[in-house]
Amino acid sequence: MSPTRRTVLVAVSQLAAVSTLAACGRQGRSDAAQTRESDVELLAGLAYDILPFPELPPAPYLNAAQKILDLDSADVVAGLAKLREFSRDTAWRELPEGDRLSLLSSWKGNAFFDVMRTNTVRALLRDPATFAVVGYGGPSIQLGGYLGRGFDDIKWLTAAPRK
Amino acid sequence: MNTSFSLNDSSVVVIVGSGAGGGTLGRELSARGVKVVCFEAGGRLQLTDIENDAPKMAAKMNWQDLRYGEGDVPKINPVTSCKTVGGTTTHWTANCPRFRDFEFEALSTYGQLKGCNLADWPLTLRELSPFYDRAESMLGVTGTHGIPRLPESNNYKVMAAGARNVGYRDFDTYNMAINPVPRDGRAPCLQTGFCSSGCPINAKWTTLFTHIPEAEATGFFDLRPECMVTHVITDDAGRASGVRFVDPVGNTHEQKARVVCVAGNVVETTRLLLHSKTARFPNGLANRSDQVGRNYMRHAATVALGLMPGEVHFYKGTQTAGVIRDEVRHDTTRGFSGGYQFHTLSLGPERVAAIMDPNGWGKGYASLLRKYKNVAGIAINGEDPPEKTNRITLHPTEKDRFGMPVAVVSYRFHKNTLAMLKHAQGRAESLFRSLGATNVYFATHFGATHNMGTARMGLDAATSVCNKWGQTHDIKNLFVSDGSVFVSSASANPTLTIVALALRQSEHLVQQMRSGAV
Repeated sequence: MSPTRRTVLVAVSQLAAVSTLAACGRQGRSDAAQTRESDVELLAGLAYDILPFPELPPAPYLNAAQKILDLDSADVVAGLAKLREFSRDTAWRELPEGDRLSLLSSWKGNAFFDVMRTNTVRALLRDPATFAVVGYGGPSIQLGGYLGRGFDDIKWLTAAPRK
Repeated sequence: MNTSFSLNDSSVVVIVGSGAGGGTLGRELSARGVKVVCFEAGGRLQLTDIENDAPKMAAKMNWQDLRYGEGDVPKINPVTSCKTVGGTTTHWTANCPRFRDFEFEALSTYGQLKGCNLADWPLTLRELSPFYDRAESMLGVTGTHGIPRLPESNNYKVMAAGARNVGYRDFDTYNMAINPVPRDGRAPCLQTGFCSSGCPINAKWTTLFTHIPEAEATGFFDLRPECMVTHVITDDAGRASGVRFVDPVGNTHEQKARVVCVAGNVVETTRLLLHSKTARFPNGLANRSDQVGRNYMRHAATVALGLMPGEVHFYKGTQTAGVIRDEVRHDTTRGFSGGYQFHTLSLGPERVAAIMDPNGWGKGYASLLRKYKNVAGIAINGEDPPEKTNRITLHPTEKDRFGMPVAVVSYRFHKNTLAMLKHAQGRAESLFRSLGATNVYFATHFGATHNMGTARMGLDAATSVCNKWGQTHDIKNLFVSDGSVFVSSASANPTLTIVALALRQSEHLVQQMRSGAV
């Protein structure tokens, strides 16, 4: 195991312990299954780190995660098992950001990361909730197209360099 | 009008495919009182089925059956084409350039390029011009025959300003088969975007809503959607006698025919000809020259995205909104033969993200994608020389659900294509940077939906598949009616030329039928 991974693992397991204790305190019982986030929540947390748009509500990330689960991919099943091993049932978003990102970086290029990245980016960029975030108008036919809605309204070009 | 001809009616002309080639031919023949049975592997969409949703429409219109790629193309499904009534005219962006005179004489003009199979066309621009005229008029091409041009969109204005800066002179909003004003019962363009997902108001020309219903109205046109033709049948005399097809519920039938015209868009045309082999034609039909499937061309194509200093919103408006023609010339001082066009192109956020960084993630990637509104886009479309080894073959063992071997598309970039792309990318980058672009991105593996060359025309039956009317040398009543007949690819988008050739072929075919030659 590389030092980075070991550091992450240790950090993750310590956090998991703290988090579980906190959860027990809040709920007054020690049933970890009650606080364990679902697969879709866990993947939604990862999806957020892959393409973080803070102004988006949870739904687009949960939808992306659901689509990834619906793939029935062995890579996703294996990835989830590894995530559980690392997070020890701490909610993904409660882990320190630095640790989450180092873990994802160390997975860059592996099959699970590829499935997560490709499908997260696809699902989010196809989700109308994301259109405004990236400045995309989306479907226009129901609004009469863009003919009277800015298809030729560019302003800054008049000030652009001319030769 | 629902016309239905009997399976045993051996007086019909069978057309395989309903796109630019098949749809046009069907309209022309039926208008002259020739009985036509037109087979289309895909289903028939109505105007109300067309939505501003690229992935959804791709699922409704695209050819999804497995195809393999080898070389410089994706390994799985390397070619975009459509499987729907109207064929790829449902998907095209409606660019309508004509070939230039020198582009019909590629071999004479460029000389033979190393490893290539360049040849001159057996016809000239002069011979094809009357048919280009008719095609432009039929399709309502802007900037021709008194039809006004489309207005200038933001993306066009960026390209035009940059073009001026780098010294180009020949640019405008192009020749487009998209109505700027109402014409021929079709609506004017609302600058909706999503042209390649089908036009929901029928401003963009497609055979689906023009030639097909016009042909049906003649009473001489029997359209058979969702019918997959698996064989062209030949008789003991070595003539085409009909086709075998699988109907929508999976039953196999045979349709007799006087003439068979194949217009399945290069990959399917090739697959059908090769798969229809017999003891008499062991290498496939019309393939005594061994050229069927060879000389596959798909254009030197890529997309340049400029990250501009201000907002562009390039998705607003027609996906292609203008052209620069200055590089459409043969000038080897640029380091390559043949020419290329620039035209504007817009893409949705998903495809832009993949071009800007196909492996991106994290906060940096999120910030980059927020700049989508500042992106301007230009496509490059250049001449792609024919090579014998760029070819479409049948997989030796894998078959589709109709029992037809899966197509394998082998394609490698020629040195000339790579030199052309490098030049074009440099010019596109200069153009965007002259306006203050902070970055310019290029698509790798961008395949234009252009397929050409696998049943080339020629004067010599030993080195070509068809004569100059698309009639195969080997079987007089078997015709090829799509981009397969192209001898060279030119720098022009192929559809207008496919339509012009189909118009020309229809006249020849009617004449041959009247004289009893076929």
